[in-house]
Amino acid sequence: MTRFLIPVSIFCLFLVEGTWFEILFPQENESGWVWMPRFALIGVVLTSIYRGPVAGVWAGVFVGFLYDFTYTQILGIYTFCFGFIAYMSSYSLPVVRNSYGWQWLIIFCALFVFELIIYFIYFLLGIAGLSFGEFLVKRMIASWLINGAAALLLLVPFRRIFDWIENQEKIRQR
Amino acid sequence: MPHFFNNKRLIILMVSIILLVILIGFSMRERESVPWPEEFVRDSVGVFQSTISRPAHFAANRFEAVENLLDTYEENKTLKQQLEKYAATSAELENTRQENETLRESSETQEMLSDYESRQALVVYRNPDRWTQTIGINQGTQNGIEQDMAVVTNEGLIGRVAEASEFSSTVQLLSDGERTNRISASVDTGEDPVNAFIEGWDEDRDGLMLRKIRSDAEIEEGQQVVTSGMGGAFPSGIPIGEVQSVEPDEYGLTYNALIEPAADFSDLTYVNVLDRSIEDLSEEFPSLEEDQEQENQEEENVDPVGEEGGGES
Repeated sequence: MTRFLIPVSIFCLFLVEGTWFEILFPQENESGWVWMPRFALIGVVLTSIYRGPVAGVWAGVFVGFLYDFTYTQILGIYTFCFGFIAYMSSYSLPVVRNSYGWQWLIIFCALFVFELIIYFIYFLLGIAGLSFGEFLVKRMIASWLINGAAALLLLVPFRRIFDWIENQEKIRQR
Repeated sequence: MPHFFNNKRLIILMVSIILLVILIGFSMRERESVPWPEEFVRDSVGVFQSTISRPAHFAANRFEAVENLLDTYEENKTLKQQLEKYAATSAELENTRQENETLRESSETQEMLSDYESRQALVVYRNPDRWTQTIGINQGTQNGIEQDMAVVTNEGLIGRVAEASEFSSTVQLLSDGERTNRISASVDTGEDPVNAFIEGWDEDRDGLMLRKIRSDAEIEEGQQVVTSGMGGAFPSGIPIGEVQSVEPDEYGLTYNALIEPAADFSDLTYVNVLDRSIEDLSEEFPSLEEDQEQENQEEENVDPVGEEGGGES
């Protein structure tokens, strides 16, 4: 049960990202701002903060794999990026674990690096036609706004989940 | 980051970057069929997506219903004005249809380029990063959907089936920037229709690009663009959009036009997948196939002789 709790909750975030979010908030493309939900990334980053780099990278590769297979027709990009970001954000210090502020800051930076890598790869492949300046304004800031807000909502429930898992593990060790 | 980039981890990073490049190279080339693991994952995720998409569509429709209620008065006014026109148009349509049927009977054509079967499908997801414009639908090869079929809404063409797996398919929207997304279209000018190609999406002006228009064609703003049915998988006569502006292309030999799409790509619930009844053009020209059969028979007749000859020597 405890073992499957993290993958299941991340999988739910993944579904919400592609289905609920897109259906409930259809985007009109007139303003040019693109609201990309990255809720699963928030889950992955928090996993690698609380559970260490190995668990984080596994969670990242799992989500990235789903992402590549269902949403994009090009394999490998998201698997790599999610895994890489999970590894980069594995600050499992007690200071970070105990403060929502630090966690939020790490998610913020992770979003920046993540979007940047994805943009860079798509730019090289010729899929992304945006210039870098436009990308920063229309995609990066929008992503920070929406995912920053989502992170605020997700920090507390995820901490509860991880605390609960740790308690269960302690009970088992006795 | 106490453990950052020691030797072993550096090697793992390098190996995964190489893997990334290989995978990208593998998937960037034109793939005829989807490999089965990909199909399997997509189908199993699709089951969850289509389950959770139903309540979401329901809720979204509720919001819309309230919005619609507020617009009712204005809409009613305009609709009443249009209703008078409608009677005349429908009489004309019925007339034309009968005429068409008699003409078809007299010329003994059974199938037309415009014939198709339509299958309804529910939109279960949309690619959340908007770099590629794709949506997922809950019908697959089990329901008779194949790659490259046209996908439409009531308003007009929205895209084509990019990849079909057993129980779900991916649809590439017209607003996806890919140049290979080429559709044979014709512009309704009132006289002879002008044929050209829909190629790509203009991101700055939010419209489809209609390219390779003959330079002597008289195209104006507001004219309707429909599929011509000559491209292969798409039936003819599906509305694509309206001409917004015309300009010469970079070499001055042909014209380009900016098309405002008829369908709204942002808010999709149900879509229809069109299966063209005519399999390919050889059915329309049976003489071609006969020729080929004759050739095959000739080859078969020749072959055994050759083998025998080989045996003797």
